[in-house]
Amino acid sequence: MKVSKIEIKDFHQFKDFTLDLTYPAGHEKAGQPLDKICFIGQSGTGKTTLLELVQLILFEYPNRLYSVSNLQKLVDNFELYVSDKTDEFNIKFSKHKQIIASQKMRRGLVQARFAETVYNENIDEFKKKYLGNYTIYFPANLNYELLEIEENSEIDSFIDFSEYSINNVMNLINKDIVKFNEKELQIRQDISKIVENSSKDIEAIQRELKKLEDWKKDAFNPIEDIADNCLNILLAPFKLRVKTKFEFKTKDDIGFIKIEDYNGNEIPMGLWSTGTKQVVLSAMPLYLLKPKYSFIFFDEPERSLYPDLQRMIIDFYTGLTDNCQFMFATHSPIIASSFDPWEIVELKFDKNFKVYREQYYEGENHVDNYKWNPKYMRWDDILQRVFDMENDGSEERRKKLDDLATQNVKLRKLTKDGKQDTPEGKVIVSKVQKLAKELSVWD
Amino acid sequence: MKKLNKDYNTLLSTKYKAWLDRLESSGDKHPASRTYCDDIVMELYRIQEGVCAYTERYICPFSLYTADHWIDGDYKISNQDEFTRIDHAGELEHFDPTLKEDKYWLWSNLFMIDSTINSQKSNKSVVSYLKPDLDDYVPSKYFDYDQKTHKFVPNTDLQDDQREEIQYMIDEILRLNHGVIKNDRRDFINISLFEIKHGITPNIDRFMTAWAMCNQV
Repeated sequence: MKVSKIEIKDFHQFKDFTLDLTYPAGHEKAGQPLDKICFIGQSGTGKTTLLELVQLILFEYPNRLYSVSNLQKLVDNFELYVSDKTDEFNIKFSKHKQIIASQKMRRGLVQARFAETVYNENIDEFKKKYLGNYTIYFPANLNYELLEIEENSEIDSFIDFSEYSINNVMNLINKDIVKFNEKELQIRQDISKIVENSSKDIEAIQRELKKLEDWKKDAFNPIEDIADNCLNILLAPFKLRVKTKFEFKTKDDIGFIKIEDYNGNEIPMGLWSTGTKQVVLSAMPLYLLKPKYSFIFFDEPERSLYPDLQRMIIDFYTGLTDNCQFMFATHSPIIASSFDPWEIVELKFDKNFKVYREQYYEGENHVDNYKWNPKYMRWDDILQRVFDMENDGSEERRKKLDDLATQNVKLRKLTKDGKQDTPEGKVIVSKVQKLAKELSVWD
Repeated sequence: MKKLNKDYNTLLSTKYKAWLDRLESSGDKHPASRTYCDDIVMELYRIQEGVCAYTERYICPFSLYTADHWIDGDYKISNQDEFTRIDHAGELEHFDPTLKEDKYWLWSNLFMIDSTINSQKSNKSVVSYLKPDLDDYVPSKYFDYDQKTHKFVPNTDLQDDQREEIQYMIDEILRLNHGVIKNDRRDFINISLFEIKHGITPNIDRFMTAWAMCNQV
C-alpha cells in the first residue's frame, strides 16, 4: 500500500487542499501511487506537516501534529487514500481517536467499511496486511547519539529517529558481528594452543590455519557484507571505509562497526564527521531492517552532505528497500534532481497565504505535458525554474552581467560602423574579455 | 517591451466603454464592482497578443481572446470552451498606481502583466516615458538587446543619467531580465533561429522586441 491522495479541508495554511500522488497518464504505472515523493517549498509551507500527517493518520503516531491539534480538528479535516494495484482505502480519524478505513475496489465500488466498533478487531490485521513491516522516520533532527549497545532491545514497527536511539537498530548487526568476532577469536586461540603445545608439529599448525582460512571463506561475514553492499560506497567520498580486518586488543574491539581511513587508521566513533554519521546512520537501518511495502519518511536528507553525495543518496536509499514509498522533504536542488517532475510536490503560498501545489504540466496530466524534468536540468536551471530563484547568481554577478551586456552592445554597434579597431573599440574588447572571464561567460 | 496600440474607440466591449464614458463625464469615483473585469482583461490580451505588456512572456492562450467571445458588446465565455476565464498567468497592472484609488478601471492606465512580475513590482511606478502605448514610444529609443547574454540594457547612446534610470526600470520595476524570463527568452530565440536555419518559419508569438533587435542569421 502507498499513499495515493491526501485531502485537507481546513488546517492552518491548508484550505481545500488535495494532493494527487499517483503517476500521470502515459507512465507505465499510470494511476498507481508514486514510489517516491519529494516535497519542496519555502519554510512554513507545510512540507514536514505533510510527512507528519501521513504518520499520524496511517499509524496513529502521536507526533508534534497530534500534540498541537485537537481531536475534532483531525477528524474534520484530514483524509488519506492508500492503494495498490487492486485495493484502495480511504482513511481518516474517528471521534474515538481511531482511524476508519473504508475499502474500495479500484473501480470505485465500496466493498466493505470498517465501522468504528469493528475497527478495533480488524485494524491490527489491516495494518499488518497493508502497511508493511517497518515504517521509518528520519527527521531533520536525527538523533546521532551512539550509546552503549543495549542487549535484547525490541525494534518497534514505527521508528522515529528523533526519539529512538540508533543503537537499537545497530544491535541487529552487533549480535552477528560479536558472534563472528568470537568465532574468529576462538579459532585463533586454537591455533595458539597448538603452537604453544606442539610447536614442532608443522602439519597440525597448518591444519588449524587451513581451518581458519576455510572458515573465513565459507562463513557469512556481517562486516564485509555491510561494507560491500551498503556503507563503503557512501564512505568513499570521505576517503573512508569499513574496517574489515579483525584486530583484538581489548574487549571494545569486538562488536560495533569500525571505520578507517584509506591508510588503515581507525577513526573513533566520537570523531566521525557529521556527514559520515548522517549517511551511516541513515543507510544502516534501511539495510538492516530491510523495510518491505512500508513507508519511509526523510526530512532534509541533504543535511551535512556535500553535493556529490546528495546526488547519489536518493537512488541509494530507495535501492536498499523493497517496494516502499519514500517521502522526502528538502531544500536542496541536487536532491530534487533525483526525481521526475510528477514526483515533486512544490508547495507555495497563494495571495491569501494558503498553500497550493505548483502545477508543472500544461493541459492533461500526462508525462509528455510536463514543462521540464529536473533529472535532465542543470543545477542552476533547477534553482531558477523549480526553486524560483530569480537570478543565476549573486546580486554582484547580476550587475557585472548588466555591464557585460552593455559592452557587448557597444561593441556590436562599433563593429556595425566598422570602428571596432579604433582605440575605443580596443578598450571595449578588453573590458568584454575581462568581464567574460570573471563571469565564466564565453558563449 | 513592444509598442501597444490601445485605441479606445475600437474596443469590442462597448458596454464597458459606455460605462466608463459615463463615469468619466460624471467625475465619479470608480466603483469596486468587477462587472467589466473580464472585458478589460481580455481586451488587453487581444491588444497585447497574449503576452505580458512588459516582458512579452506568453501569458494567455489565444483562444481566450478571439473576437467571437464578444457578443453584443460583452465578453462571454462558454463552459464548453477548452480554457476558463482564469486560465491565464497575468494580472491587471495600473501603470500609474496613484490613479488606482479613484479611477481603478480607467482604460488608458491598464495593462496585463505577468503575475510573477506584478508581485515583485508591487506599487512601484514605471517612468512615464516608458508607457508602451504612448504615441512616441519606440522600444529601440530606450532599449538595446544583447544576444550573447540575452539581457536588455538601456540604449547605449543615451546620456548616463537616463541610462541609469532605465537600468533601474529594467532590473527593479519592469523585470525584463528576471532570470527565469531571460532563460525563456534565450530558449525561444535560439529555437526560432534553429528553425530558420533549417528552413522553418518560426512563429514569433512572444518576445517580439528582443527578436526584432537580434541579429538574425
